[in-house]
Amino acid sequence: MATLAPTPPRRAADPRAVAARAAAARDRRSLIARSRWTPYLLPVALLSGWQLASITGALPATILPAPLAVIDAAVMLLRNGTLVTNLWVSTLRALTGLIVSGGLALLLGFVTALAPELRRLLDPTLQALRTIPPPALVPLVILWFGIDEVAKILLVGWGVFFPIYLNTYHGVSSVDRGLIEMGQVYGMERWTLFRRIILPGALPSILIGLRFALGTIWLMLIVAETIAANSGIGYMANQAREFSQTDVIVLAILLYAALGKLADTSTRLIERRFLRWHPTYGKS
Amino acid sequence: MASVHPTAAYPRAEAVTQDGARLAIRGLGVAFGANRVVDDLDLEIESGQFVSIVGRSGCGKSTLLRAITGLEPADRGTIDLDRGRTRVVFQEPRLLPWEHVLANVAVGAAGSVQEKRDQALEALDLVGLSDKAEQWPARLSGGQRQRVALARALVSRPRLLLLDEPLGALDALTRIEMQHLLENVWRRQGFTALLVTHDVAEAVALGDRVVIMEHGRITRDIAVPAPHPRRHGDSDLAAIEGEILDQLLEGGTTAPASAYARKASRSYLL
Repeated sequence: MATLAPTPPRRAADPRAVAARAAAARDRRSLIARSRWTPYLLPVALLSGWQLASITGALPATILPAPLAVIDAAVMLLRNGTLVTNLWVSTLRALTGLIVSGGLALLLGFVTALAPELRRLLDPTLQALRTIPPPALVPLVILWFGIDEVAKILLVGWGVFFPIYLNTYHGVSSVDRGLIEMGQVYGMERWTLFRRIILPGALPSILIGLRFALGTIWLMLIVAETIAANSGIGYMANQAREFSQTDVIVLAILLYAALGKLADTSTRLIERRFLRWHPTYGKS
Repeated sequence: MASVHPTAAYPRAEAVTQDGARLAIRGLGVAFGANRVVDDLDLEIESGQFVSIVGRSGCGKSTLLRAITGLEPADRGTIDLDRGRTRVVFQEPRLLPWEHVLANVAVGAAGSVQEKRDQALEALDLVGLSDKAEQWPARLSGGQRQRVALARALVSRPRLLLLDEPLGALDALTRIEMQHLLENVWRRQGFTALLVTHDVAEAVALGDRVVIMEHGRITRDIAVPAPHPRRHGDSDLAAIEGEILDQLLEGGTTAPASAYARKASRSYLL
């Protein structure tokens, strides 16, 4: 049987020592927790490791190019203009799809939420179409439109439509009934009711839909441009694959990431501007 | 001028600036399916009178108010309202969270943008909140929000003000402050007021008459003769309050015969 060693008598903690230890712990923590450079530590470490592995030859350029090589590729493509042209083409496709399809989705979302007859007429069909995964349409779209611009805009539009439609519908139907009733009792006309109560009430939900849509927009654009295009960032990456230009491929991936981030930041700015009144968003 | 205490600025009755609407309801019936919520109800309110309606929850008092505003269609009877604007203060403030306090008050106003603004500022001043004009409603306390809602109702100088348990969600002290505020603006503006409440003390403190509603009908109509402004905790008021509570507690167990109810609705008991 094991014998228990007598525990040494506990010393009464000196309050000053405790406070000093706590302060020291706080200081140690704060260096990591408070520094504005902390979020950059990991990316910098990863990039340096990557560059190092490339220089030493541990990572062959046919698998993954060195980070500096990607920058070189970007400079080269910027100089000869292909980068700007392809970036512009891709952005234009995304914007056209967003405006046309998003506008339609917004309109139909409002209409189905506000008019029961049209809801009965339209919503079941739209819900059925929603279950089609957008990439499944690619073969049909190529068959119909080839590598025409319409094909890309259609695919992008399909990806944009449902998040905006569903969130608009949901936003409008969940506007506080009490506010609408108040508007009616206070004599608001239909248009005023829409502008001052229904639209702002649905806006938080609509903006969530917009954010989802912007997420799928790039997804659909990659699919469309990789398979059926002769311009755009996806096409550029696909061409590079044929010539094993890994630096251009990585550049294209980074460009998609940057565009996605840009889109996300703009929705955040829109939210901050239009949802100032909202305790969650308004930080002024 | 904003005062710390919203009622301090109006210590006594001033000249009544307008007269309130006259309201006459005869044989009113409202049904939800087979359920008659308001049943053959008669109620007359003189111009400028303050009438409180008390009753247990589900007695139809809120439905009666909604029928007067037109939110609930009546299937029987008539509601005669001689003229002028009707405004409602709901139990919840129902402010537009995306508009500033001033714009919320202006919802009730009419005229040009500048006129609306001026009227709204005046109404905010009346409820002692002019310094909150540029705030978002989310930043206000519950009592302040309800004062903004009151300002929105008053901004158009209504002739009939309907109050649907407007103070139900407030704490006891804020409630009493709001009661004083209501009493003061009512005495200043001279509108007709119909207050639905489940707080008997509140009904007695504010009403010229307290009407008891049970099972969709008015079963008692009690005059409260004490002059305004009233003091909280007045013994005469307390006696009336006790009488009403007795009736309500008793009425909860036995449904009154309809003949009795009709007779009682016409007789003032004090």
